[in-house]
Amino acid sequence: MRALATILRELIGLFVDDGSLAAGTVAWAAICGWAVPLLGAGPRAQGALLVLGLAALLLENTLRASGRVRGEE
Amino acid sequence: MLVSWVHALPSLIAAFLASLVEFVEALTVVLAVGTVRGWRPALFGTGLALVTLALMVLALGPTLTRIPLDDVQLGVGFLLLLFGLRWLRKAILRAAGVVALHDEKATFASETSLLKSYGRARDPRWDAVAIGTSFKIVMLEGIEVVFIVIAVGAAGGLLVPAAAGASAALVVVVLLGLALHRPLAKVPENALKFAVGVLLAAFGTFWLGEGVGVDWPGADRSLLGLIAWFLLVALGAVRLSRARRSAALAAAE
Repeated sequence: MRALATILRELIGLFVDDGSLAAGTVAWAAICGWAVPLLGAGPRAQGALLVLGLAALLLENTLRASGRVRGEE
Repeated sequence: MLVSWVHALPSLIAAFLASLVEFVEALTVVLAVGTVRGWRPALFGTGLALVTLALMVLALGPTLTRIPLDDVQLGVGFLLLLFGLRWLRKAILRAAGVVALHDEKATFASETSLLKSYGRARDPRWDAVAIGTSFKIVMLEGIEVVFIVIAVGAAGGLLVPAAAGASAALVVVVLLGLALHRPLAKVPENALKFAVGVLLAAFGTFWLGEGVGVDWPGADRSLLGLIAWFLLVALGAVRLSRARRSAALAAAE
């Protein structure tokens, strides 16, 4: 039973390490997937926004983690 | 033909590199189990996990083909993006010195001392600790490999090159393990994770975009552009993170 719980925890850990990056990715994917087309942006603009937003999320997250003096495991 | 190579080669390379990292990690623990508790139960646990993984693939594979391609692209792209960004984030932080590098020798040493701390099994051929430890590590790393192969292969109908990449990685690690009989500590694991993170983030973005109706310029070729983009962003993030880290440490002194 403990082994199953470990496997399940590891399975979730495959996709979520830092909660804020995962939550930001989910939110940005939803915005680009559903909200942006409703605002009248074309499929090319939708792609550009997706790519730029994901890069911004990654940069912000790594810079924030680097600024913590204790670092992380 | 060009389009199919543009498409198939990144799948094959991504699956090969990602699987190589996972198999190296599994090999370290299986070697520790075999060295301390005996090879028979270590290999039995490994075999049991491989059979379980094969059954999982056989059960999940046909189900996946029944799901409409658009839904597969959206779901797989989204999971792949989360997975890839997670790897890339960690590789950036490791390259910037924020997170310690993964050390296979240290893992081997800690696993070895942990395995020694358990009492001897009544029947060493059926050592539950050895079987359980090798089963667990091969399952954990194997599930990641199965996911990677399905994720980089299924959405584009490229399961064969992805599976070939993973199989090649397995062969390489098994042969090196048999030849060296020690952890593969010299494998540049963080550089591999960095490269895999870039590839998977690019694949995930591409398939997620396809799933939500993005019109990528150049169609499949834009995957190469996305790989270059994420590589550029990640390298920039390493430089900026390193500077930020130094400034934070200096301010704390």
